[in-house]
Amino acid sequence: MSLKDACQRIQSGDGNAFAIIVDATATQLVRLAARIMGDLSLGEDVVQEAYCKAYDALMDGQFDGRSEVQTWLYRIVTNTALDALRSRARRTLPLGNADVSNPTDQLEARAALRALDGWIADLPPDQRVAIVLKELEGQSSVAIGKTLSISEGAVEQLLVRARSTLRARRDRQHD
Amino acid sequence: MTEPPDDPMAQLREATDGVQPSAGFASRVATAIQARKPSTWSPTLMLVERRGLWLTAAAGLACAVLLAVNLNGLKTLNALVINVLSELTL
Repeated sequence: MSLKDACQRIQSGDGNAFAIIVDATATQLVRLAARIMGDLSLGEDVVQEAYCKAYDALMDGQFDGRSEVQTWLYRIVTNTALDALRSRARRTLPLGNADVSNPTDQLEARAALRALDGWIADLPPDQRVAIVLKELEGQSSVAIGKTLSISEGAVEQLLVRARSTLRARRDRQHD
Repeated sequence: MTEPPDDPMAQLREATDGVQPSAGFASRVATAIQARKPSTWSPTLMLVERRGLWLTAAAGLACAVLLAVNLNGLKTLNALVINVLSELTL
């Protein structure tokens, strides 16, 4: 069954069909959110919230099927993660400290996410998301712009600033 | 082709390629979704819930018109409207 078929089944009252969407998309979406948040548990929280938003949108008939389901979910997850980063920035809480639920699960991946989180910690939320989508997810600037609802030029500006900050950081480490 | 060793983002991309949902993630999502579904959920019920206020108002207005017609026999339409409006404002 395709994801669009699953969406139609959900809209016609078969709520159990949502599991089909989760099974098909969870790995990609959790990896995306974990990279943005720099933490697996925080990434899972973001994706769970995004799934709930997607479910509500399906129930309200807000998904018209013109875009691919995965692309639609990818955008919801990215913007939910961006909101979470902004919320944390406003509260000036450190990132990456909530990952204590199961410390033995995926040790290497968690360590890599901590390293990633440390490397991009100085970036503002929008630059952080843009650099993750570009450098780690391999998205084009056009696609990033569509996801974040900004122009391609604005994406390029975010990337230039982010790379400048990261380059300065690397130079400081080399000195 | 290998990435330059001093490219941290390339190294971090490779290192995080293996990130996967933890055990039990899918069941947690299923529980969260289940909690959002009313127990008697159905598309028809949802439509009625969403349109309920308007349906109630329309039904009330129709009842008022029928009552006015019944009470006032063959009065003109203008008089009926005045009666309905005066009853609604009471």
